[in-house]
Amino acid sequence: MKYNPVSKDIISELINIAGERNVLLDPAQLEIFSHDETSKEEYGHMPEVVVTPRSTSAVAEIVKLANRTSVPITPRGAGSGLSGGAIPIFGGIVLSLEKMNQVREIDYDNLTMTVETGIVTNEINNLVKEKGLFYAGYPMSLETCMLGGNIAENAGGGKAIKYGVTSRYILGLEFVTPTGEVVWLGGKLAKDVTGYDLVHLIVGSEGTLGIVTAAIIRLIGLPAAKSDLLVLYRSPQEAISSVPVILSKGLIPTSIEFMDRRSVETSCAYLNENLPYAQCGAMLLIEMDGRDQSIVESEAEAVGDLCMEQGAIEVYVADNRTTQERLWAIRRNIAEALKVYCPVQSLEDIVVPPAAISAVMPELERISSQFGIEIPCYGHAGDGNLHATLVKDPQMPMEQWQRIEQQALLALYESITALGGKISGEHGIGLKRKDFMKRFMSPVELNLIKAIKRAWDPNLIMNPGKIFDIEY
Amino acid sequence: MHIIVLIKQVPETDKVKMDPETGTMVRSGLESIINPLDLYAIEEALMLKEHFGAHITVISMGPLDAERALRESLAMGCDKAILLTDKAFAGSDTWATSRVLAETIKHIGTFDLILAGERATDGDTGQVGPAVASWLGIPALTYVSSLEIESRTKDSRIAESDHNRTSSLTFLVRRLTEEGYQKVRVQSPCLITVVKEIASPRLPTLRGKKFSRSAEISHWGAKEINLDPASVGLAGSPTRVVKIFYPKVARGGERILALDEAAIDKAIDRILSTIGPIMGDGGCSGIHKVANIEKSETKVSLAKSQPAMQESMISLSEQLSSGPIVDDKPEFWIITERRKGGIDLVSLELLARARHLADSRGATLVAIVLGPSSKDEAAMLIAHGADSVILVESPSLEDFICELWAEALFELACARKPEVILGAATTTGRTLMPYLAAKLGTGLTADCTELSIEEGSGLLLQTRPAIGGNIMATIKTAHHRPQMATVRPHSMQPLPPDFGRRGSIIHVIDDSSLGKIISDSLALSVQVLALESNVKDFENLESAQIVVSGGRGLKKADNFKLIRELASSLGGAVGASRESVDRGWISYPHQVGLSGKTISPEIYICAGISGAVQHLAGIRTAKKIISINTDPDAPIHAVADLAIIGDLFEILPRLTAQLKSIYSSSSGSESKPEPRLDPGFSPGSVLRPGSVSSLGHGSSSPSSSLSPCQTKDTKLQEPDLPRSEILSTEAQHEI
Repeated sequence: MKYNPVSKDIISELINIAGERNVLLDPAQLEIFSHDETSKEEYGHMPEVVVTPRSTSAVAEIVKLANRTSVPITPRGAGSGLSGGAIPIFGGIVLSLEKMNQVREIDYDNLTMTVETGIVTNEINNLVKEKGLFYAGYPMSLETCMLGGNIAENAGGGKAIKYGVTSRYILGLEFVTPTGEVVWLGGKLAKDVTGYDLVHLIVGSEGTLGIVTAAIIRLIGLPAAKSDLLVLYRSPQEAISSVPVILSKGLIPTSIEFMDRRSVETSCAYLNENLPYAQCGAMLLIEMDGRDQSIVESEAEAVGDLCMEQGAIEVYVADNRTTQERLWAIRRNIAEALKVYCPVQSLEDIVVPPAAISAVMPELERISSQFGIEIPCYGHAGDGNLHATLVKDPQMPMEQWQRIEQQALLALYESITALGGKISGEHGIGLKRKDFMKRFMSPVELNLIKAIKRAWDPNLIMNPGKIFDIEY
Repeated sequence: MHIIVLIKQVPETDKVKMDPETGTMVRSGLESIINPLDLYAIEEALMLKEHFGAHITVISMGPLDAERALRESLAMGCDKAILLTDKAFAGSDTWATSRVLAETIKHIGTFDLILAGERATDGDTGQVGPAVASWLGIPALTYVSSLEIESRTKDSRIAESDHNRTSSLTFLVRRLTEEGYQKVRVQSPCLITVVKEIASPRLPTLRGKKFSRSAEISHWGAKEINLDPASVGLAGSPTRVVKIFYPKVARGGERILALDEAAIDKAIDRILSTIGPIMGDGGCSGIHKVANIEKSETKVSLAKSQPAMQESMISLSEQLSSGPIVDDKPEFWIITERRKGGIDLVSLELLARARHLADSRGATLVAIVLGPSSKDEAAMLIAHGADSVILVESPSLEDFICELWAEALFELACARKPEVILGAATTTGRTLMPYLAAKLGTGLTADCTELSIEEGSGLLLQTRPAIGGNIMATIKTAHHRPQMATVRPHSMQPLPPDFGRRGSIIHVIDDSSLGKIISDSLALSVQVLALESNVKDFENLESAQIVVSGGRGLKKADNFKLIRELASSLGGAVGASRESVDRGWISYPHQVGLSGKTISPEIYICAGISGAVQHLAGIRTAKKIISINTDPDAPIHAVADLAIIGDLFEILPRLTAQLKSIYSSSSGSESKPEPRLDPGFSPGSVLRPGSVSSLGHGSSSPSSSLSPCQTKDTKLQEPDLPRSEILSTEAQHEI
């Protein structure tokens, strides 16, 4: 694939379009746009220029320019992605939407909000909380991520079992095509079969089909009451087997988070948390929410009882935010705690049919002992979405790790494919898992995807090098 | 064993609003939780229950909604809960609250131990615990970090059914004080307030939750405990909030983006120039702290340079019968604190404040010294502003035992009727003063940062931060005397000593009256066993002039060495955020913030701390704040005078190296840098006359020459010297 470098002329055109202050060239400033939350050393690549336009028309002009001059363009939100989706792997232009963060409308009658995609997702909830409303398509990365990134990855998160993933809350999009045309897709509509559902083709396309500059999102009533349970089990199997029992009783938790022994130990040691986790082989963190505190608490009790019947060692209850924070801290700090143990790791995002989780656990053990690496595992048990994390032994030489990592990933993906699973549930393919797509996706499906890409982006300038490799 | 735990339901501190009209907290729309510090008390009670068998009664006073907090404590494993709820209780200050709690406890009957958190995170006074003990006439042990039952083992369980009968137990406790851990033996029944170090709270279990949902919680009002509704609540509170205002939080300081080499250098330069004035010129003239202090001790302690003093001796019984002996002028008292045999700097700060107040009121300023002391110390107090010094020299008062001190002061106050009593808001002051105020039946305001005399009425206006420093409240004690307040350490500088001042010294003799107090009090069986000052990883943050703190950004325990090295290169103390203490990276005495220490250093440097409101509450009165954090949006940067947006792992080692090179090139090899302080006192130092006596008597051991009688005898014969000579003595010791 041949792209043109960003010439002086292109830069002066960018300045004309976006204004001098919105065009960054200083290498020190460009550096932070060269990577996301994946390893900078492994995947990072510098952009040639970063543009931070403030309007949809400016975005469209920039895309037209890139398309005309065959310069690659990579859209970017907060840079908190976990698959390298926002990395400008071919250099060129990074188009950061950080300055497109306006709320265009809050429609209380239709319960929608029209916002630009550079808004920090957390901010959306702050804005509507007072009115007792809530945007549920909200992943776990808390303070930093932006709506645009959530849309690009079709982010999931910890509440998907009850509320579903981002796509359920995206009703319409303002979209800039790879040729620089602007179009509104969808609308404030509960039903819409007028033509193909392009909105939901774009959601989750990892920025390869164009740039979403604004979205109509669905708001729902804020569940003010919450009750959390931390359930300790002797084995992962016991923990996982509780999940269908709970769901089949018509109890729908907001989250059912799974943590294996190694994740719990690492996080608790890191937090100095004194829970009696020594005899515990796995934990579930279950959250119930709703409108009325006493109803929610009694439902949580019912869930707790079911867990005890399934052989849980102990069930802890958290009915206020401070105690809830204490429980969630264990889950949220796993990744950070593992990074302190060894920063070199591969955070995976496998997804299997929920009932297959029990079968995944012995596979992880097998791969772990076969390759002599640790694979702590945690994630969203209710969704079958697990963050198995391959962690390098701090003593292991880097070359050996790099070899083993690829082999172990291959083994992992093979075993979950056999179980009916897929290699990414919510983080996306991006750069990181691109090489495995050929092996684990049927050629027919991959060709359909590539055909869509070619039809939308004839010059292949829009976030090239992600999900799949494609030739003219 | 019957254990009573006092808990309070508090709003989550980061969301508190105040009603500017009424000066009370707007509780609606706030999630309420058990005061986090009370959780440690609950946990300690539960551990005692597990080991020895106990029945635990939890009591809370509050609105109906406080039942939630009680239910949670039942879910954790407590046995019984009582909610004190009555419209008549609304608006209670700490005095009125402690009275209701004490009456309730009397009503319940016998108990062995009362546990409570060291303070509540909303009111932040720490007064209710000691005041309850005072009402009940039992010992109060505060800031307790460990508790053991002496000569009891798991085998000798105390049957739970026995909870109505008080068995005599002996507790061994460790109190966390500014100087270290004080080990105390105390007999039951007693009241103990605990700090975080004592226990790590368990989580409520499903089983406990079910029990708590079905448990009946008794609701008691004024009627149930036989109190006149008019004597409780706002109506029965000696103190009134007269004004609420919001402190300026953002300092609007300088921000430096230190992401590359050049910017880091610039940031380090700015840090050095900010620290410079505190450390002395170019960072090198401040290093002679040790010498400086010794000379200043010499200066004030030599009998030659003492202020002119008139001495009298009076027995307490004489005092009691004769009534106030001074003229019509009202008396303002300060309670002096001593450490390791010298006067604590905080007492001199207190004198400076009280001097100003006494002058505007036309009052006599009296410093009270309890325990064996010397005339040197009295001279020191006079030189720093006291008009007279009352020495109650009983050896039994040497160690701080709250009920003994309170008893002695109570008798003295009844005799002399002071208008104002001020104490330092130290672990001692914050224990003694509420105990004494409850005895005297008067109000007390905790941890004031401003005091003034109201024009016209002559009343003491007491201003303190509350709700984690989110608001400032001005409080008045209009109809009760004395007006009492504790004052936050380091919220004022001591006055420069004036050795020309005249003052009187009154020795209160340990006669039968006081002797009786002491023997009675000893029957309470509180025994101070030891002060452990050389404890591993102990830190006296409160008196440090420079504090360097680290937080979660350090990533692991090992990295605290970066903080320790920087602190050591500055002669400062090491602080920490709650999270880093919770994670076990560093010990609790280092913790700064709402559930740790509140400090007012000259310079506060923090790295890898985001600045949660709870942390900011502990540093609002720091003079200069320097923050280092990679996150440009970290709240700490908004309150910093110098905000460095950069990586602590790059900045700290270079800063430390530069500081080390400055000091090693400009001073002697062995001297360690220390912040410079006017007027010549070191942070946290005590002024030890002992070392001076040793000059006079040729003894090499400072402590050997400090028997009270000896000092008294010799000093009385020492002649006054002409003023000029005093001046020259001073001049010699100027640095």
